[in-house]
Amino acid sequence: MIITEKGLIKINSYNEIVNLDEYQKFNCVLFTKSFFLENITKISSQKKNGLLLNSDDKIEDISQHIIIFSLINVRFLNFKDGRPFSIARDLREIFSYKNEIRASGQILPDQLIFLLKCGFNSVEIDKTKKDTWLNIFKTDSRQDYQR
Amino acid sequence: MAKKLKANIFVYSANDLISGDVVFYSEQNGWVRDFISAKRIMKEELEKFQEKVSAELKQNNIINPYLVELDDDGKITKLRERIRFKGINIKDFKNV
Amino acid sequence: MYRYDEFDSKLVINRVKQFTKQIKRRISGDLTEDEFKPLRLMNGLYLQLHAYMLRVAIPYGELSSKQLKMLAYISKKYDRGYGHFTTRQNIQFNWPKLIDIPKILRNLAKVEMHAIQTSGNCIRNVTADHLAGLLPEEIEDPRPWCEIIRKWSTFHPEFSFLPRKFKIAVIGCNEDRAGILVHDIGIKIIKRKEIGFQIFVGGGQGRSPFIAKKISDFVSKKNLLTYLEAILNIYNSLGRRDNIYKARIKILVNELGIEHFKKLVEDRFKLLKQKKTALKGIEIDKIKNYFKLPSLETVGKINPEFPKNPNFEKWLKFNTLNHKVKGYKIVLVSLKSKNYPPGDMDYKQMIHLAELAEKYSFGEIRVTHEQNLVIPHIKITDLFEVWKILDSITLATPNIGLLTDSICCPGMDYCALATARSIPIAQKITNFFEAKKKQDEIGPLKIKISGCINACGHHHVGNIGILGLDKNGQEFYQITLGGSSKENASIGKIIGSSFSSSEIIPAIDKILDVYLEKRDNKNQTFIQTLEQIGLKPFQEALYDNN
Ligand code: SF4
Repeated sequence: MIITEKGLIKINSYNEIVNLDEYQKFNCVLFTKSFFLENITKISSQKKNGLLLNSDDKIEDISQHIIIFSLINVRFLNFKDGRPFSIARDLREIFSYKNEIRASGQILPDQLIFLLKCGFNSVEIDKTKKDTWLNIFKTDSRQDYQR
Repeated sequence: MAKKLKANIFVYSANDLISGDVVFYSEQNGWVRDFISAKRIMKEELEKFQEKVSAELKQNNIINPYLVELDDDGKITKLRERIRFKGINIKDFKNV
Repeated sequence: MYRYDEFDSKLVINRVKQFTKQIKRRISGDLTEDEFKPLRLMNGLYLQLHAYMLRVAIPYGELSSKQLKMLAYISKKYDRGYGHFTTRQNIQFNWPKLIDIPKILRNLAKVEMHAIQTSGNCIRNVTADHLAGLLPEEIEDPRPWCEIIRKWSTFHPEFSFLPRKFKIAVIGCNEDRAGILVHDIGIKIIKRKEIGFQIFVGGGQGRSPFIAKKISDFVSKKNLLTYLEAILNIYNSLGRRDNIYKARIKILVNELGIEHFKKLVEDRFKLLKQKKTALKGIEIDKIKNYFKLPSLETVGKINPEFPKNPNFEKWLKFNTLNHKVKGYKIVLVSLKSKNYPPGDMDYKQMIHLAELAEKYSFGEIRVTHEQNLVIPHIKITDLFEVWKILDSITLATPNIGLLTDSICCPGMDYCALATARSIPIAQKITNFFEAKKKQDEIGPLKIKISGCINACGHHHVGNIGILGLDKNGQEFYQITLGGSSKENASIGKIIGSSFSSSEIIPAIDKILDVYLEKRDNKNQTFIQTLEQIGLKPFQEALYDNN
């Protein structure tokens, strides 16, 4: 289940895959950076390709390929590890990535506004905490000093 | 809190979630402010009480529970714990 | 002084509302302590040895009478009637209850104060020279720059979950009174063709102390925030997160080497250069306008005759400085009296001092990183009157910059992390040396005391540093000599094995005797003497006859 930047709750349509067979099977796929680098020639631009990054993954070495991804999903290893905030901002501001960026993993609802401001479009959330997320989406202030 | 525990007798201490006050675990009345009512826990019973306190933690009444070591006469061994138990005020420092 | 506009006020109020909800969620159990902790820390709320502790920011040390009165009110109503000024221009309340925090924060917001980012792994309260805007030799007032940095760093979406805390200090004079070389980033205003900034990075104290290294010799005003953003981005991406003791930027800078680190930052800076963080002259001027000197009327008698009073004369000598406007003095208020722990102030003192500043100094007060206060603009002809009032509330101890004006952290009396007490040591020093009347003869000297290796009492940079240790359950104290947080910043050297709490005062006394005996003349400082004669004579005096 995901919450979008518009405050909508949606179902995640990406299938996390680990091998080429699975890659062929689905039309909307999510795979790791190492899967991507190993199978780079077999990636089809006909599919919806989602890249799964961990908070400690670097993006510089695949930056020339990012156009092929319809989604980049950055997974928080721990909510206190703030590297994904920089990853998202780099994707937007340095690498001009225009498609969806999603956050997943261990995240606090209280981080939602910061995530959206850094360029994330959606967050994968725990079903049971849906109401907290929606509430924070509605009530937390978006006011800030940064430009 | 994986420090080595040397003593034979312990009490459980924590802070009250809402007031922040120092509290001790008493068997009958849950978490109390006075040290005298604190349950003296023998080394052999530690595991049992550790489980109890973990369960207590889920009630969200206290935070930061840990074991305070006592000597065999039941006195607190560590200076830090003695200061914590006694409390302190600005006036305590007048003309030391 | 800076005044909130509508935007600032709303921002702070929104934060109070948000944290109030978070507290409710914590009490209801919706948030576990593990999840709540980083949130409460970002709002300045700690759990200390005895209770919660709330740390309130005093941005770049500036405080109004109205604000000080509110601090008095809060300490009386929600705490135990006193507060503690820290080495980072903050004030701490030692006994607030979690349920009272929303009320306290709402009261603070009424006087344009908050506890935002006074803790947690984010950019902390920006500090400045406490004499900013008051001295003739100043290149430019650092306070507007602090305010600009404060705004930029508040709720920064990218930099609120850094590897570790991050401290920035700014100065505008050559003399460094803010310790910029022991900050994560130190900023010094300099004049080349135009006025800009020298940037230092990777300084810090704690377990592994480092003096900051220069990363840029000149950053223009326009690019200041962009440059800071580049540094923070590199730190957030590459700073270590596997080990809390290695997570500060100083470790990253030292592991990579300053040249490599600098290259990463400069590359990044180039990419960011055209970005939105560039500052416009008009915005800078708008902020600067808030910090204009109040209109001080000219004083007729520049050399008034004062009543004969030796205590007053001593105070005049040690606790006042020349103001850049003729006829005025800067008054330093010592929070190092015999009767209070260093940096502590009770609510009555706060009220009286607030009233004094209202009457004599345009309602302005400053907080120093050495845990004292400043009343910035006192007419020379008012000095005696001001002294009498300060003296009546135990705030006229004539010891600024002297031995008994020591910096001291709360130590084991309050702090959950301490390995030994520090306040009683500071007080013993005060009592012992005041009785011996030795400190006037010694002259300026900085003693700094920490209750554990985290070094909140800045012992690494004390001329004489004292570090509290735990040796098999006993309090012991290690002495370092030769530290300084000034322009010539240096980390003190450990003199030898540590001393028990009964041995520490005689040991300090012996060190001072060596200094008095060996210095060439009265003006040779402790540091200069040490450089000249080395550690050895001190070590001989301390250890040889045992
Ligand atoms: S130096 Fe240690 S004892 Fe002192 S305040 Fe800091 S953490 Fe606490």
